[in-house]
Amino acid sequence: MSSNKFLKRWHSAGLISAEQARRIEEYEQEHASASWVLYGLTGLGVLVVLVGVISIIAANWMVLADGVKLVLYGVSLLALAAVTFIRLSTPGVVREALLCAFGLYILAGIGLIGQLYHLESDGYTALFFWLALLLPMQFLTESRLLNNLWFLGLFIAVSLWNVESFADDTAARNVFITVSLPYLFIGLGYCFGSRAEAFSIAARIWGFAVLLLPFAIGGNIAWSVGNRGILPESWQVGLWPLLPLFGVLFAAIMAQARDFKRSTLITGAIYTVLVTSFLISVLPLMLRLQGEYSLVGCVLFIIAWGGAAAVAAGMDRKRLFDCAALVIGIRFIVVYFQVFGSLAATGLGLILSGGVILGSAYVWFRFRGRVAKAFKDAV
Amino acid sequence: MKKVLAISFPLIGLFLWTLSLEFKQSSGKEYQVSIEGYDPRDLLSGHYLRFRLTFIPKSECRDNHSEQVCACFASTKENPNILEGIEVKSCVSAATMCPVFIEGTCSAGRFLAGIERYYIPEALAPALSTIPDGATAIVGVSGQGSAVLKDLRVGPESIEEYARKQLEQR
Repeated sequence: MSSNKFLKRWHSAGLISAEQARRIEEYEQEHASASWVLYGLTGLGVLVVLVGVISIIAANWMVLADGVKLVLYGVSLLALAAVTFIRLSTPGVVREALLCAFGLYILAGIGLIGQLYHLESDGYTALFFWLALLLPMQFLTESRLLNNLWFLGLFIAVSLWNVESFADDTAARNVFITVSLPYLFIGLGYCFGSRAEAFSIAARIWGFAVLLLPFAIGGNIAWSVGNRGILPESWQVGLWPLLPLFGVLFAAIMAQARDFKRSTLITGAIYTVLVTSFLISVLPLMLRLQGEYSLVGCVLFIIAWGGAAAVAAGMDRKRLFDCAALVIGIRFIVVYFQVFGSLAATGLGLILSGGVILGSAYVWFRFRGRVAKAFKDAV
Repeated sequence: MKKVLAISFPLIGLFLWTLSLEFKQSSGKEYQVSIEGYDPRDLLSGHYLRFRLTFIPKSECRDNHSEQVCACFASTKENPNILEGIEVKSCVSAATMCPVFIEGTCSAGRFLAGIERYYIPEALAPALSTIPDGATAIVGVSGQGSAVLKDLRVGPESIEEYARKQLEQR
């Protein structure tokens, strides 16, 4: 809803006077920030200009010696860096566009140098190098144009790395590092909250977007594949499933640490120790009883739906939150019966199992509000 | 200070990287090694040639592409600048036992030194759809086993000269 509609509604409800509504409207018009459409068009413009420059140089490229190409690139890069630096103190679209152009020009330079020295490339190494070089610049932006570009680059680099290095003996490592990444984004997002707002927001947007879209799909596939046990025998899962769980913990601690209090820190530390001890004691037991395949599917599934629950809570979609939580709950019960299925064969075992389900329902009913609030605060 | 650091960091990074590549290319001893072309159907293929170093017999290279190994070489008696492969071994033993060695990995029975790509100018591409027969690579090898590709040769001439002549003859 636009601010005008809010003002009309508040004025008709008698919350603000007509004079106040007019003054607020004037203020908002004066301080209106550039829209994402403007920034999008600016980004497109920068890209087109860069492609144009590259085309002109490319047309005469063959006649230039390698050394000349390097010097030409170096001089133009320095000039762009100088202009960008001068504009840094003037906020606005030009400044953001220059930062973006400078970042892309660095990437072009990596490609050029790679060609001049005939470097064999897997694609992702060059991208990771570019991302590392651009990391300090992430804290200068205000519009998130460069931040979004950076996270897009990271997403592509990780995908390429997965495709290139995926093999039976590295599969588990790749899967669990990838699964942990969005939680790392979210954690970093909260970590840099007040110091680098644009980077922080972009990190959270990308973190939640990755959790919701590819992971919700991947989690379901993993559950299905995991239960059928058709993963290759050579998958060495080991303790890699711990990594995303620690990722979740990191994101949660960073989200809590925004309102830093000594008591929060102590509570966080106690929870960390408890959760870590629980995971370290339960994982080997599950691996032994259930095998690695189901565990992979189960962890991915719960993490994906946990992300969905968090986003639903953040967006005030209570039914969606309940639905995601219910799916996770059902999965927990399925895990319980998978691991301790033999218990259900006896009367005592059935009573115990029923008790676990009732206990889970009670815990959920008791803490649902608090969990939803924590998720909402986090998002 | 924060702004200066953020803008100069990528500049310094690129500069140091280029410097290290230049140093690698200018230092080390230059050798000639035999190569053969292949078509990997690379989806990101641009104007470059891909080839394999053929000096290591297939039986020497087990498939362990995540692990670094070293190819051990000796110069031929006729020409000390031409390398012939002997075997693949761990880099620790190669450093003490081999006269010349190159770091790399084994993949699909082939030794890969990470130098198997040569970029060619777009105009010469029609004459170089594959690596010509009898082509060799000029490789710089440092004492620590890192290799850089300096040039490709067809007989006595560089591959670019060879391509130009081929285009003139058409």
